[in-house]
Amino acid sequence: MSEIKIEKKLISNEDLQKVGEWLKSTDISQERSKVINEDTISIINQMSFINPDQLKEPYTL
Amino acid sequence: MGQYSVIDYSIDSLCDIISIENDISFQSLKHKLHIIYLEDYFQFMEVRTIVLERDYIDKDYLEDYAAYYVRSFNSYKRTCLRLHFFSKAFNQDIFKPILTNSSEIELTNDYVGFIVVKPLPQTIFGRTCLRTYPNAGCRYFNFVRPYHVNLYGINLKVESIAYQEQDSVVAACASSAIWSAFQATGLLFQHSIPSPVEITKAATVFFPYANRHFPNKGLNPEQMAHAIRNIGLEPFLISAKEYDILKATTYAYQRAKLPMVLGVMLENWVEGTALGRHAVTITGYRIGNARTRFVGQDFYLKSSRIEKIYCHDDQVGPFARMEFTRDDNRLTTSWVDKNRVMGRIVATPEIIIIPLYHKIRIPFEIILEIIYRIDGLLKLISKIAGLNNGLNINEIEWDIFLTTNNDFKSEIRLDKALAEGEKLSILTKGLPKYIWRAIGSIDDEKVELIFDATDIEQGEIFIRLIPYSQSLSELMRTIAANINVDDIESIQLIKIFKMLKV
Repeated sequence: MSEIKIEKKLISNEDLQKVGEWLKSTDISQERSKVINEDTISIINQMSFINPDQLKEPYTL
Repeated sequence: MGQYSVIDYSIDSLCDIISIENDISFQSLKHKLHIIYLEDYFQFMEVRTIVLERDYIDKDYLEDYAAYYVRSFNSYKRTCLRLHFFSKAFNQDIFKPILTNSSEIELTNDYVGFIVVKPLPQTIFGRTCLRTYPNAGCRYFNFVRPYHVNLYGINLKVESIAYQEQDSVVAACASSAIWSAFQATGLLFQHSIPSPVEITKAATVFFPYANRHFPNKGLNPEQMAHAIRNIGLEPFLISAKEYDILKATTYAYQRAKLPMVLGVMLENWVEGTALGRHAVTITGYRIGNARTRFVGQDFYLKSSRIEKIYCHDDQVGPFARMEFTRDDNRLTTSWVDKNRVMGRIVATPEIIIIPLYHKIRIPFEIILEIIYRIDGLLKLISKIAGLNNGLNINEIEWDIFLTTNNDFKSEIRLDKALAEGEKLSILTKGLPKYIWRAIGSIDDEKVELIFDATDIEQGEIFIRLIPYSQSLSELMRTIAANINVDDIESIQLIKIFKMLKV
C-alpha cells in the first residue's frame, strides 16, 4: 500500500466495499453506454485520420 | 547616414524609417497588416525608442540572397537593417556614452527585441525576435528560448521564438511556419536550423511537378513532412477540425516544448467566400479559469479551458491571437478583409503537423481515449454504486500532457503533496525519456497515471499510479481489485487494472 501524505478521507471504507461488491456482481460491458459516448470515441479516433486528398492541398496564402 | 541612429518610437516614425531605408511609400507601409499589428503590440510592450543598426548581415536572408536574389537582373542589397526596440526613452546623446561604456544606464531590462528589415520591395520583415506577452498566470509560451544580441558591443537578450514574413519567392507561408517551428526544435533536439530557402528546397525536392522550387507558391502537407524529416525529426500529422481536439493537442504537446504547424482554411464569414489555405506556427496559448467540457460531454479536460492560441502568422506578426470565441469551430484572426475591416476573416482549422523526436511513438489520442474510458468508469461507479461521500467524481478534471523524464522528476521533487517515501520511489525509478502524464483532480484530491511515450501501442505503456491523495487513489485500487477484466473492452484498461491489482 502506498504512503499518502494527504489523508483527508472523502470516501468511507463502507463505500469502497460497496464499490467492490457492485463491480464483482456487474458486467461492466453492459453498463458502459451509460457513460461512454461512442461519438466522443469516434472524434478521438478521427484525430489520426487524414483524407489522402488533403495531403495534396498546398497551403499558399 | 551613420551606421546607427536613435529615434523616438511611434508607429509613424517606424514607417518613416522603413520607407526611407527601403524606398517604399509611407502610405503602403501604413496599410501593411504587420504594421497595424505591430502598432498594437508595441503599445502593449510600451516601446519608447528604436535603435537602427544599418548594414546588418542576417544569416537567413543571406542564404535566400545567395539562392535567388543575387542572380536577379535588378540588384538587391545583401545587407539588412536591424531595428532594436526599447521600453526606455533615450536619445542619441544618451545612447552614445552607453555605447562607449561611459554611462551607468543599463538597457538590458528594457530590451523588447529586434526586427531585421530585408532590403526587398514588399516582404520586408525578416528574422524578428520580440518579447512575448507576459504570462500573468494564464498565458503560456512553453518553448521560447534566449536570443543573444550584440548591439555594437552591448550584450542584450530577448526570450522569444524567431518569426519572419514569407517573401513569396523562396518561401511561402508553410516554409515560414516550419522555419519558426525549427527555432524551437533546433534547441530542443540539437539540430541545425535551415533557412527558409533550404526548407523550401528540402520540401519540394521529390515533387518536381507539384510546383516550382522558386518562386514557391506554397507547400502541401506531404512536402512539409519532407522538410521536417530532412532535419531528422518525424512529422506527425493530426486532423484538427474540432475546437477541443485542437486545444487538447496544442496543450498536450506544447507542455513538452514542442511547436506545431497549424494548417487552416481562411474564409470571409460575412461574404461567405474562401480566401485559401494558410499555415501558421502555434507558439502559445491562454488558459481560462472555468472548467470546460470536452466536445460537450461530461468529460473535463484542462486543455478545454484554452481561450485563444498565439501564432506566428507570417502575414500578421509574431504571437498573433486566434480565439475560440465562435460557436462554429472557426477561429478569429487578426487578418483584415479587402476593405481593411478586422474580424471578418476566420480560420477553419484543418491539420496540425508536429515535428517529433523519433522516440515519441505513443500518440496523444491513445492516452486521451484511455483517460476518457477511466473517467467514464469512475462516473459510472459513482452514479450506479450509489456512493454517499464527499468525493464528487462528476467534477474530476484531467490534465493530460507529454513531458520528459527530467522535467517530470524535477516537478515531482518539488511537489508538496507527495509523501517522502512515494517521492523517493518515483525519483529513483528508471523512466523512459518521454512520458505521458494524466493528472485527475477534484479540489485537493489528485491522482496521476503515467505512461511510457516511447513504447509501441500494443506494449505495456502504463508505468504506474501516483497517489497524491487518499480517496481517489483508494477508489482506483478498489476498482482494480474487484473489476472483472474480461468485461472490459479496452486492452490498455485491462493492463492498467491488472498492474494496479498487483
